[in-house]
Amino acid sequence: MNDHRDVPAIRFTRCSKAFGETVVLDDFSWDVPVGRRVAILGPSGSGKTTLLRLVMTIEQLDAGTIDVFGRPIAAGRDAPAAERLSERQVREVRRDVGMVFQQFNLFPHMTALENVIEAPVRVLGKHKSEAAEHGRQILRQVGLQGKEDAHPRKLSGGQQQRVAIARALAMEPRIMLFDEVTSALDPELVGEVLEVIRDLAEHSSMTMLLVTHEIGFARDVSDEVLFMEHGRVVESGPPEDVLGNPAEERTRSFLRAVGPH
Amino acid sequence: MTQWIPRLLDGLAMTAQATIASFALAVLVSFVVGLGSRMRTLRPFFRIYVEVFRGTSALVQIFYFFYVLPLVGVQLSPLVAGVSALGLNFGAYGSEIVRGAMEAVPRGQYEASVALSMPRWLAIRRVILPQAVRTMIPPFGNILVDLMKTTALLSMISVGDLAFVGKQVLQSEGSAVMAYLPVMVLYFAFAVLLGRGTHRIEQLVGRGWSEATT
Amino acid sequence: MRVDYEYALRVLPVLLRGAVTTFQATIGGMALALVLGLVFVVLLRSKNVLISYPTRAVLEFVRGTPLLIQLFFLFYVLPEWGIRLEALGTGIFALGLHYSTYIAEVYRAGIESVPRGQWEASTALSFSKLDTWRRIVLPQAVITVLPMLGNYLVAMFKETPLLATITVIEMLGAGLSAAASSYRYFEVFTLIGLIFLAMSLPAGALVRKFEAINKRYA
Repeated sequence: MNDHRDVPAIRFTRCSKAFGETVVLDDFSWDVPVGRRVAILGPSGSGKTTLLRLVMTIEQLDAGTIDVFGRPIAAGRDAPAAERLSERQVREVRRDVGMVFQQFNLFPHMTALENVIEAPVRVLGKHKSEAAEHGRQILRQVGLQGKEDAHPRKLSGGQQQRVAIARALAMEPRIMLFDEVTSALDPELVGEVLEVIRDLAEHSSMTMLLVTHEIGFARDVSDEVLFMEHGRVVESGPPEDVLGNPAEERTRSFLRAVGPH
Repeated sequence: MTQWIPRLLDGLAMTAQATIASFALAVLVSFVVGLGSRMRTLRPFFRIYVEVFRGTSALVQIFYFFYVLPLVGVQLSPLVAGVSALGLNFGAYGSEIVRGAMEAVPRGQYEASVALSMPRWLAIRRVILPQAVRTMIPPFGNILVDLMKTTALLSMISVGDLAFVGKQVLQSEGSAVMAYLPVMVLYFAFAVLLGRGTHRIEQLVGRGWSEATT
Repeated sequence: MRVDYEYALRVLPVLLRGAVTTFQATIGGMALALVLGLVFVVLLRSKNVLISYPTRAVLEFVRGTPLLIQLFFLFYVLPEWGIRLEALGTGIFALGLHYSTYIAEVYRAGIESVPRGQWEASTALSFSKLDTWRRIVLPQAVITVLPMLGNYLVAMFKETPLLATITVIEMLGAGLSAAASSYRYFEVFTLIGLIFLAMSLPAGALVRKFEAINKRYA
């Protein structure tokens, strides 16, 4: 692998994306260094979720390119045929990236453990017993020992989201994308999920992008904060600067609106 | 009247046979067309098939298979001609069920599969289909009962099913009540049985994970 | 096999004359089904179980047996009982009866699609029972019901060829008797199929349009 110090984990080059008339990403360029934890903040509709979905290739880029560890994962519709990526190529690169969704998106017909080992077995070709052992260990790590055989609908929202985190971790990605992972949860369940992520940030070297509305959490976990609006970066920098002493008025008013932290 | 009982049972057996055979064909066609419609190149052909078979009458299709196919050199026995026509007719409806059920699986499920680097067909087979199948069972149950009733049309091309035996009873006994009351009761009993059966299957599939079965 | 276009042209008017009967059967059958369905749904919703249960049983039985058998039954039994109907009349009766059992369910679904709160609000506003139905429930139910009725109309249209089996000279009957002497089954059945397509494709598109409108309001 080309793990040079200077090759960024993710590189956005002149990325644009619009849904109909609404521009959600406007000529966006940005490097995410390896191991960096970035909290992405901004009002809804500012393009932060789309950013993650583009990296995950769930949304198609209109223009620009995205590279993961120096290898292309997405290219705009207008890219010349030679630069267009095959499905297989994209899948290769995508293995380095895991994602946790706002709505969990667990597979309802599988138990917690089955959810976790499905992709390692079917995609990575791991042996089932080996994957299961690893899966149990990850479920323990997110505090779900004893829930291995429960179907998602028997679990609380917080437990479901922790299974979803375990599922993503089981693929051993080098980059994790967290898309408003606590927004669909009842307030009393938010803590347990954030705790798992905090723990993860502390004990691993993964690169993380976190779209969140939890300002306090963002301050604790991230070493860079990106504040976005209308598909553009308003300001970015260390959390103590952006959150503690924002340079831009729009950042300030946003922080005021979401409340004191 | 009692001397007709064995004949009626023979007719019932033929009805059952025709039902099973044409349902098997219909399900096969439904999945091939329903899943195949996801491929852009095949879509127009499948579309034409579905519109033609849904847009015309089942009886006309049966006659077409029985009278016209021999003219182009395809000789089929009445049962095979009838079963093929019915299977393709109901397959056209079934393919819409398959397509609809696949589309009804939440988008997030596809997205999660992408995020886990699953190839498309793996995602369809392991993630989407198991959930879609659960949704398909009730409408396919309706198709099964409908199909069973529609097999009565095969008597028009001399397949010896329950309806056919009814006609024979009428011709030799001369009483329509005597001829068709038992036939109707047998059809009804069969329909009830099939309805109950699919309901059971519906409960078994998805037990433990599906909201709908609690 | 050679296609005889000249024969096809000659037999077309015969089939189209049959199509007129096909239309009569469809419209007559649907009209009867709409009315009978209404009767059934009223009986079905009766609070008296001595009425609602037997009604349910009758509906289940009619739905659980083939239209073809019902057609034969009526065709041969009605005369035995001294009721003389011409073949087309019997056909319309059978179609109407058979489909009324489905249409009763359509009505029921339509009524039940109106949320409880609408009834409660009407009561709270002291509407009369008649006004509640006329001004509140039916206008909402109609939106649900219309596309479903459209579907059954198209379905019934496609089942009219069954009337050929009781000597009605509708499209298929006309085609069968023409083909019996000419042996031009290909031309005859292909034309019949095309005529059906020409009718049911636009009808189906119309129903889908209604469904789309329906979804927008749902």
